[in-house]
Amino acid sequence: MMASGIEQIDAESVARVLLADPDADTRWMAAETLARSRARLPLGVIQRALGDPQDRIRALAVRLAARRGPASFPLLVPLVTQRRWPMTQSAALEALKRLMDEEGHLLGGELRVLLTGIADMDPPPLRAERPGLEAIARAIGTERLRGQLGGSEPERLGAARLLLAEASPSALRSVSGLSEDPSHEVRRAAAAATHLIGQYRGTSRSDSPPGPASSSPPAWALAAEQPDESDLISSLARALTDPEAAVRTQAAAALERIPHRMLADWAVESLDGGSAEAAAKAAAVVEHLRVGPAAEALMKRASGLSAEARAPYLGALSALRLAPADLAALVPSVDPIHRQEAVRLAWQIGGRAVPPFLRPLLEDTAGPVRMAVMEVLAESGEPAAVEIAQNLLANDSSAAVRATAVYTLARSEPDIRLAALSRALADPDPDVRATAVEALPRGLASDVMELLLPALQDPDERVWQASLRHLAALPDHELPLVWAALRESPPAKREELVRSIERTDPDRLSALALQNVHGVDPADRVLATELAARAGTPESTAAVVAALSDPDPVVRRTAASAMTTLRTPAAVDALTRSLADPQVDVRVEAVRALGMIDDDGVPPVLIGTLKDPELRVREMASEALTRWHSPAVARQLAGSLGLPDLRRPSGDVLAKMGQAAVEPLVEVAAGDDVEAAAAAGALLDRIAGASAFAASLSSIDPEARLRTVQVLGAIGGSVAADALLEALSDPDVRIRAKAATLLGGMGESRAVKPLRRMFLSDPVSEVAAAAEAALRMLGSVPQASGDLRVVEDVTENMAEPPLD
Amino acid sequence: MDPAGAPSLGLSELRAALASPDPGVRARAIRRARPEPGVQEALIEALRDASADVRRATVRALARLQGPRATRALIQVSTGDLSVSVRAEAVAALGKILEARATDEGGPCEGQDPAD
Repeated sequence: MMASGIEQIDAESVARVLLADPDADTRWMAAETLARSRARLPLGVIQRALGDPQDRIRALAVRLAARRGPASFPLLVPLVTQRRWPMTQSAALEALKRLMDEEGHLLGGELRVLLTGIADMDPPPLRAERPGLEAIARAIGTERLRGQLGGSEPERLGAARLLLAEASPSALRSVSGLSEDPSHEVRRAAAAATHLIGQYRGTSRSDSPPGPASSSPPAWALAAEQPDESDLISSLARALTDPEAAVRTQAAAALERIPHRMLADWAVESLDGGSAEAAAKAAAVVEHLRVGPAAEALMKRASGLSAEARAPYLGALSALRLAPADLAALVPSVDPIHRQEAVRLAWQIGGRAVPPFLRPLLEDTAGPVRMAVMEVLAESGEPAAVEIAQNLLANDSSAAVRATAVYTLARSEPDIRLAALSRALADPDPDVRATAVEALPRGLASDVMELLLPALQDPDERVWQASLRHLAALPDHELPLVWAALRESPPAKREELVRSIERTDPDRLSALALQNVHGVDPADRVLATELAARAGTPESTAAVVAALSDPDPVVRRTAASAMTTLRTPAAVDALTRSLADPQVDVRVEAVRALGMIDDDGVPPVLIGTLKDPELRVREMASEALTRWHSPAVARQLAGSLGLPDLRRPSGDVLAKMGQAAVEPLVEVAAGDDVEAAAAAGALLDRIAGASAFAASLSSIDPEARLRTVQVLGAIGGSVAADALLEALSDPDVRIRAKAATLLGGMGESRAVKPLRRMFLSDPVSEVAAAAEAALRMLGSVPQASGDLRVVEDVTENMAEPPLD
Repeated sequence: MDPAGAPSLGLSELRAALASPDPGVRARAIRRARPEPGVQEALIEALRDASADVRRATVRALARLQGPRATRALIQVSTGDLSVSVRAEAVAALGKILEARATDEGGPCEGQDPAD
């Protein structure tokens, strides 16, 4: 393989070896060949090479990346902090520094990645890494890095570490100014910077930084300060979590020999401002060694965490075995925004002995704290809890606290409970009122239950919804109360209540309906009928059917209307009877309901209804029949064209049905009933037109042609006449005869001449007779039929037809 | 001076001994190393020795030195060494260093007689 000067096409082949060869030495040779050449590989290829399992090959890939200039920064920047691959890291540090010196600066996002990576380095930058980072810091520029010291924590720490590595007096002063930084690591960097500044002063150096050729120790060497007590305790604390008991025992023994004051100071500092890891280590030490002075810091830390993250701190607090009063006394020290959690934690750790000592916190200015205390008092069964809750309900300024008090009172003695809930339902805050209703226990006593009805009338949705849920869940023997609620509710709430009942137990809807379907008040019977239809059980359906015969017309109309929901064939007879109801509305609803029932008995009934004296009933029947849109219904309608009183309304429905009605109408048009055929012909003309049938005269089926001729005759008009004139020359005797007859009947004068010809020349006497009859109908009677057929010159006298 | 009274080793002798393939030789050499420039670095390098006995001996030697780099090395070993005994040794050493510092700062440990 050529070591250098390879062409681009060869570079691609070598790159394939680099990416795919299973032998590491071969891949390394490929990488080295490419590195020596001037080949510029695609960034995608380079990125894959940077993922090689061999560090030395990755390092060569870094050189290939650097050849792509600043475009390679996104690939190189993350490598600068990857200690897992030291050769690659070193190559990346060198390449990045050179690129920044010669070709361009890091973009904002790239700098953030770099600073975050450096901040994540644990331990902080090592001796071998610092010269490279120092060079990078100089390439970035201290001004730009100082600007990052005001950023978020990881970037701030990364910038501080780079400035510390750069170690110019101005950089160190910038970092030393972070001694109050909330991040422990940043404060450590600040302390190191302060230390370095002191070193410079101690050697009487000027303000200029030490150059690379200086005989003074390099900045990183000076930064290798003695680990302080905090570092040592932290190391021992970490050893407390070692997987091996021998190490843990050794660590515990070492920590026990240290003054507790020192441990407490360290623990408090770690818990107050340390990272999660540092604080967890402090909690472990406190737990093992019972460092009492750290209790307050533990409580503060635990209160601000999620329940999942609290375990180490709760364990430590428990291990301290504080007296209940001391445990409760920790709560006020916690920040107000987390104090309510501290209340619950004190209760959780100390148990029933603690709540009495939490009572002073009922005076806390924060509502959530008072709420938490109230909850704990109630939960612990504290005898004074009810009295406290009554007082809070009456006097507390916070609606949430009053609502919490309501929860407590809802579980108290009946007398107290009733009075408290009545008061709560009159509270100006809807949350309190809603809570009062929600807090009502299941299986209510009847006196408390009476509160539900006024709550149902509450203007606030949360309140009446809460009442509604209770009502829906009431036991069967309380159904009269549910019925009263339904009766008194406006439609929207009634609908919500019915839905709640349906969700809870659909059979209860049926039970409610059946209990009231025979009520004295027609309004009860109407509502019961509606619910019965909605329940849809066999019993409730029967009740709806029976209601069709109710003496009250509103009930009957409701029942008929409800049948549209049920759609049961069992109701056809009852609904049919309702078609004779004296109330128009009842008949309309009955027709509507029948139209929804899929039963063969329905269409004849609906067709009969087309004769109803009331227009709305007829329109509803027409609408229902049209909606069926079925050939079977169309056939029944077409059959009714023979009845004079149904001819017109049935015809209207058939016209609306359109194509579905054509075939049944053709049958009628070809039938013997002349009037029905004429009506059918007129409808066919409206729906399809005569021309649609004229084409069928070319059918090879003589029966089809004969039926078409009949239909055309029924349709009439010039288009039909044209087609019938054609049919006079049909090969079928019956068709020629029928066409002649129909043309005569239509009074079609244009047919005289062809009819004469037919009369004179048709070989079939039957056809000639038909032509003769037609000519008679047209007023063009032959003088002497026998002679005419013998002597008349057909060709001479056919120019014009005779006038009538 | 070695606890057993054997003559102590300077840097060059120590480095020569550490090149021995025998872990016993290396461990003994570490125990006899005397504090002088360069020894600390040699000991820190010896923390990477394949033998746990050698590393344990190194931990003890570094604990005697108590310099900043030695202490940092012990911190790393206390959590990073694969051998339980080496980690335990490092933890014990760190405890002693911390105890010594606490005593220097004044104030006895709780439960400790101020007269001790």
